[in-house]
Amino acid sequence: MARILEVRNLSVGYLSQTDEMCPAIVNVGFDIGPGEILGVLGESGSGKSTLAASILRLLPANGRVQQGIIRFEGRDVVQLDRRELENIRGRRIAMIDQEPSIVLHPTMQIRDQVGEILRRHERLPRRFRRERTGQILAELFPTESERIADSYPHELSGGQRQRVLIAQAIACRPSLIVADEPTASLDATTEREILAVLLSLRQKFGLAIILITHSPLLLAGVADRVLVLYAGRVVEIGPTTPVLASPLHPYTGALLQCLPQPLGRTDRGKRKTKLPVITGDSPGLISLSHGCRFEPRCPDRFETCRQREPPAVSVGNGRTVSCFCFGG
Amino acid sequence: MDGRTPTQPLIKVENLVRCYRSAGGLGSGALVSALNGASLSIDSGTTLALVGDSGSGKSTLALCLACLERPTSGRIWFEGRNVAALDEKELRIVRPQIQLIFQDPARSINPRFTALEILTEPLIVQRKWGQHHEVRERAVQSLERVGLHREMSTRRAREFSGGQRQRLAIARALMLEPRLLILDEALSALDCSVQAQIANLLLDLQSSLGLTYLFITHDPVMAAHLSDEVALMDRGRIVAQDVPEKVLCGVRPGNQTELPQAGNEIKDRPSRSFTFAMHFLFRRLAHAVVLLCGVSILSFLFTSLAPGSYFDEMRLNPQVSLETVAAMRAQYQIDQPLPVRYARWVRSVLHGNLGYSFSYNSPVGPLVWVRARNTLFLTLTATLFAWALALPLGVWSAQHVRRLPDVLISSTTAGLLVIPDLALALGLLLFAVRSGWFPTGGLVSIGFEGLSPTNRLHDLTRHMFLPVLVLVLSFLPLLVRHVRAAMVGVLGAPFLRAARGHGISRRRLLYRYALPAAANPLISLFGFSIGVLLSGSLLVEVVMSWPGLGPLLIEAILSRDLYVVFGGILLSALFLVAGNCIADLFLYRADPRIRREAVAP
Repeated sequence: MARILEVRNLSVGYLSQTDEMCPAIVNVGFDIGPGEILGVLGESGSGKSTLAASILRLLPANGRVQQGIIRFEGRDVVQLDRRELENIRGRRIAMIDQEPSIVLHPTMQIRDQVGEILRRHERLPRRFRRERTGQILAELFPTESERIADSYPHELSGGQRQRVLIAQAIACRPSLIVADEPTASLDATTEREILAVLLSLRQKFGLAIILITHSPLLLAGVADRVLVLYAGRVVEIGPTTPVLASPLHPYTGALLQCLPQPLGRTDRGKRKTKLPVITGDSPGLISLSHGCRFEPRCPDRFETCRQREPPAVSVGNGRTVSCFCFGG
Repeated sequence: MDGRTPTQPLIKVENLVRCYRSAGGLGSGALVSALNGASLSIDSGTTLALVGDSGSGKSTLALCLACLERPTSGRIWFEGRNVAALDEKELRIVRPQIQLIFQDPARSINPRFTALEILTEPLIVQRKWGQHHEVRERAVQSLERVGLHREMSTRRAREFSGGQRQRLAIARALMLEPRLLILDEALSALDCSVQAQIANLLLDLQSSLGLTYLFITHDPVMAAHLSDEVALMDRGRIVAQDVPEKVLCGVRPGNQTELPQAGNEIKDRPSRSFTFAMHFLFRRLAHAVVLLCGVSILSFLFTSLAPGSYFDEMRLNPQVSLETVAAMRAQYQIDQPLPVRYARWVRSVLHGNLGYSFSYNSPVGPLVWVRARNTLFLTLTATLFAWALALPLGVWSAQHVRRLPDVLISSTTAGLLVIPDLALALGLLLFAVRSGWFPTGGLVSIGFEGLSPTNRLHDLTRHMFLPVLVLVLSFLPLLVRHVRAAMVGVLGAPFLRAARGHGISRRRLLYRYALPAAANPLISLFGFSIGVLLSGSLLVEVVMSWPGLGPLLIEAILSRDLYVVFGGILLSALFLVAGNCIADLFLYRADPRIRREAVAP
């Protein structure tokens, strides 16, 4: 299958105020096919937002791509200049940010916020642009697109704002959408709705989606494959169902253990009992250890784990894991 | 647990209603009820999970229970008292017993405080300030109770991770030895592994301290795990309260139909926007009238307090007889008491007559108006040029913060700022005299009428150049600095990053996205700048002999030509008010949120 995005050996760091380089993601590699949904699962500090930002080269001023290739539709995004990047952003790769309450322009009508993107990428007469904007909004708001178009962000609810962000993202029919925690600020019902919208758009336009989240439950039934990040390293990649059902990497396993059991599966006695936790804190950006980043918290560690980082090992069925328990 | 039986309710809520008035013009705002007769009860030492979609009123209920919002009606029984009916003084005693913990500790904890300061603060606020070391010891104990090390007490809040900050927030709540802890989405912003840690901490604290929890969440799984009972909230009402199995089995995420958002409905703006605008304008005009009255009364008062009058000097003139002076005084009613004169003056102003000049022996209106026109012309030209320069310079400066263009602009404006206007004007005047390039005064040359239109324009421009330059240079630094500051504040905003992610070009980003978002303070400054330039221009006019209000007013003040002074002051005030009105209208036009606020009661 043709790949639309291939990431190889990507390392991204941030320059500290004392000009030290703090690595945020190290040697990350994955790829994604057309119409595929890749879930990126990671806790805060795992580098998942850095990964999202580097795909569009939207890193903050002190962020640096240290090495690696991000090949998107045959071109290496890392090598593109500003003009070429601006032509790709919003047109071929779109981003859906977290917190829709602050990523929409506060004093611009929704119609203009979508229209500006069309104005940038598609040479359309003003009248057609208005019409296109209406059509795009109608995808997300079938019954009330006109009313939404005329309103301002502060007049919309959280779910509506999130839909506007999606409308912006699909305005130019991109082939890839990077969604960074798209449902973090929404309640459970709205979260499901937004995910359903993303799924239906994938069906309709063949969008590939990178869905970044900290919640494993959200990925089940949505993502085709899942990539687990820990401290800037990919610890596990594989099809969603097997990874969530029988995780290979100790971190993935421990993370899934932390979740309380859904109601149907627990007997009453298990309620209000303590949850298993991962002991210790997640490591900071700078670490002196040469070994596996999870080693200090790992229940299955042994000597080799402290000496070097485990390589990614393919274990069949499309699954890859970076742990010495599986060789390397 | 104070010998209570565990089944006794610690807190019982009956028919709680909380209404907010939504924004609507002229008091027509609809009442939106966030709570619509909510009832629940929590047994002592147990956990009640409160679940429901956003907008169902969960947070309002939390605020009411924490005595931070007063319910519109209904009762909250806490330890045998209806706290909804208590006054502020009695609430001070109840509040510490019910503590609220929010989703985002980063926003509810001052990042610059040390952990110790954060923990002891509630004691100071509650005036439970005991021995210093005792308080300290209590804070450290509280810190250890939530699983933080005692060495961390000197760390500042921003150095803690998200989970640690949430522990800190819990420790702070525990300092007041509360009985009820309301956890408003307290786990929602945390990572799964941290969520589990904090959930365990909550269970520990409950069993060791006998705490009662109201656990507000939109996560049904965590709700079921942590709670003894679950209450389901919908549209401001509790629709069910029972053990988790019974309440939550029917509720699956995505299973509910979309509920109308409380207080979030969109109004039919197009049909009402005109009335809104008129209302807005009307209020501003009312302000203006009050302001003008005040200014005129004060100027009447002060001029009459000043000694002497126009006719005192006349008396020294041997050619004018005392009878003539007396007759003139009578004619101009100088001897009438102040209120009478003011009333007469106001009446004549309302009839369009500003009074009569003693020294020019002509009506004040036309006299002042000709001069005011020149002043206005000068001021407006200077304002336009100053802003036309300040916007790109400020934006450019903000774009390159602390790099060469910014440093260059900052130092130049700082230099200009320290030179007094007067020195600037005199210096330029000297330059004009020495070089002979520019005329040294006046509005136009002699023989202006005979010139061709292009030559007229050329002549006028040459005459205007210096006064405008002085005004622009004296005001530019302030404007550039404000534009820069406003833009710097906006340039880091997430919506700009998002727009960058859509491929919007850099230029468009600055002028279509960033500038409108930074515009509010600048628009207010625009109104202000008209006023300031107006008063600044009076001085420049005198120095540069510009035939504006400045020279006329000075002359009139020195000769006590009262009605000219009043007329001049009134017109300046009118311009100032008009400038601010225009700025307000711009503001109204520029920011939809102000349109809403402007009509809210």
